[in-house]
Amino acid sequence: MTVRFLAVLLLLVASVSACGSGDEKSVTVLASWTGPEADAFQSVLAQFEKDTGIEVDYTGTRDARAVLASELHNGHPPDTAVLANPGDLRSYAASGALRPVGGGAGSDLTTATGPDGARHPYGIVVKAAVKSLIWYNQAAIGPDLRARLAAQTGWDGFAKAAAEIGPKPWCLGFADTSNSGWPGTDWIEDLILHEAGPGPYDAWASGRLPWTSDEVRRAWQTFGSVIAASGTSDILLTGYGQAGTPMATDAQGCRLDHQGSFITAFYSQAGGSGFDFLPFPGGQAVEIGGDILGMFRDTPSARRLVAYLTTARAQQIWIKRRGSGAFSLNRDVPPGAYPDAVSQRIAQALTSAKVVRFDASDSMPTVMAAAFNHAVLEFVADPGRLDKILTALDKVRRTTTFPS
Amino acid sequence: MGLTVGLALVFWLAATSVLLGGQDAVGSVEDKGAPAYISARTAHAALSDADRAAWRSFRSGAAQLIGPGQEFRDDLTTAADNLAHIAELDAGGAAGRDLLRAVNAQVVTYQGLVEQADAAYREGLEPLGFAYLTYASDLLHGQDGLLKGIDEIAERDRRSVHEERHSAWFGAAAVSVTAAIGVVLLAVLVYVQVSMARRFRRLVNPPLLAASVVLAGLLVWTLVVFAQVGDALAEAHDRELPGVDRVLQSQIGTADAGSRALRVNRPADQGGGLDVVAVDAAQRPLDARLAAAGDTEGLMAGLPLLTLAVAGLAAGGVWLRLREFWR
Repeated sequence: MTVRFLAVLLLLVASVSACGSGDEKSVTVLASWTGPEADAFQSVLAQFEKDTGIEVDYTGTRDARAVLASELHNGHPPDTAVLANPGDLRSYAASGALRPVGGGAGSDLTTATGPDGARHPYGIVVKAAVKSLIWYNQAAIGPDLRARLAAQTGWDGFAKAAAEIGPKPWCLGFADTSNSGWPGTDWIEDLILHEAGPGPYDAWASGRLPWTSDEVRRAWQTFGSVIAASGTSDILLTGYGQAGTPMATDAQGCRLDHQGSFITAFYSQAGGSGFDFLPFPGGQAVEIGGDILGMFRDTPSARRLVAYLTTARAQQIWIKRRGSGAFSLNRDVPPGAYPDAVSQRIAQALTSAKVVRFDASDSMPTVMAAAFNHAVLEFVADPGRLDKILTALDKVRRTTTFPS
Repeated sequence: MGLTVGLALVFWLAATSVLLGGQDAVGSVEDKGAPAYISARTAHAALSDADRAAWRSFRSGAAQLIGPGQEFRDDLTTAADNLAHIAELDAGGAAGRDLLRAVNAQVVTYQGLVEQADAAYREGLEPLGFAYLTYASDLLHGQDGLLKGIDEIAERDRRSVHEERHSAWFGAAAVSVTAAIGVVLLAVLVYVQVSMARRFRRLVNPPLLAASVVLAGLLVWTLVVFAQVGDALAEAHDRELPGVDRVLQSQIGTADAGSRALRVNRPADQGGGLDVVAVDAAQRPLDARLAAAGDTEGLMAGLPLLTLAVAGLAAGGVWLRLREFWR
């Protein structure tokens, strides 16, 4: 009798332990997506759950970065988390918090040095935003000028043609509460990538090229000429999402908006239509921004989720949702899979680009990126301080470790 | 005999359950829900006032000498204290902790932006200083802003107070069932009294009569305490807590109007500001009501003792008659 009782008890304990481990049939994901973005991601996850029977526990919070840091500090990280930028990925990889993942679309962009000193892909780009785009309203710029702008192969020619548009050629707005200044960093990044080329861009982004170098200084000076020619006031106080809305709503407003693929959502919100884009002049290079999923606990379920999210099937569920603003780095996803003509052309530009680079400021260490953002704002407030600004930035570069 | 003792036991169980359930709800409101709610609202008021104080310091030019100023720093300390208090109370579970963590992270970001504004202003970059102050203000008041997060915490705590106030322990059903059991027990005692008077030709059975009197008294006492606890909690929920909220809302309104005016460089009311003393004064009646709701006037001890007395007297009364009969 006692033996039978003990056997039953052992069986119960074993069952409870198996249920409690949770690794086999569930996976946790932390990301900053809420609202419609979260809905889009949930639809991708729903297919995974259906296919595998693995339950996905998704937590979406705007402060995912702080929550992740806190959970890591407490020793209870999520199985997987979407990281704010490649800079965080490199830091977490170097500290050993992240586990290497298998290769996949965009894995060259997520390769970092681990605690063992070896380089591995530590994440997957689950969703990309295409930058290096200059937006305009088809109703506001005539076909001749449009054709001339499109034909330009260098910045100088493009700027000259843009000056013909009117007194306010450029829409500029750099406000974004705690992250203000980044639209300006995108300008400088594109100018370095397209004017100086991918070599100097990589050297600069990885902290090897000084901020006081000719290539970087030239980009800032060109950026300064854009600000001076923009005819736009209140650059510091205008939100990046609102900067381009005069293209649709104000006949005397600005005409060109340098922004990423996600900006169309803001145009639609403002009631605008008929927007199209020109690629940034000066070569077939494209800068992207992206959301990177990293694996903090190496479980079979987490591995299956990572593998699934890089597949063309999963990516297509996401990109097909109208207004998702998502682009895939998976070359098996055809441009025709995107829901509208503009998105299809952006996808075409992405897949045919000879050079694809991650947003440099996102790749830099947090302190460098923050200094870069501030420097842009300071430059807008007083362009005469360029030397001082570049010297200060270079001082930060020299005293900051750039994880490789 | 068995029936009366059994019914007495059931009455005791029912009354004690309602009493304990009610006190648990009162305790939850008194120790967690209400303090957490007031802390969240105070943190909101303090941050709103910090924003106004920072704008005032920059617009007046005082920032050149003292940065955002002492009032700003005091407000931030008050906000941090109240957020720490919410963390101690831990009323929202894991989701609540995540939300609070996010809010705390935003407070640090807000403070950083004001510091950036200060640094830019002192560098002579006035437009940049005002831009940073605007970013800070937007982080506070924006759609997904810091104050929205704090309001979410406050709303969660307000809901928890509301749920406790309307919990089943204070409902008519729980009180009615307890009262009904007591009345049935009383009816049984009366019935036994009458039956025995007929069978044994003795008009009064003193122990049974005493049991009936004690039970009637206990029943009245229990129902009065139930009513008093329920009324006190209802007053706390329906009148006193909104009273505290009104005081805080008025301070928030004044602070927000001030920062809105200063932001567009219009003069703002010099008065107002965060008045913690007024909040404390408004909180005193709430505390008194909740203390009253937590006072069961000895019923917690009286209930088992008197129920035992009822059961004992009833059993004794029946036993006395039976003993006479057996002789």
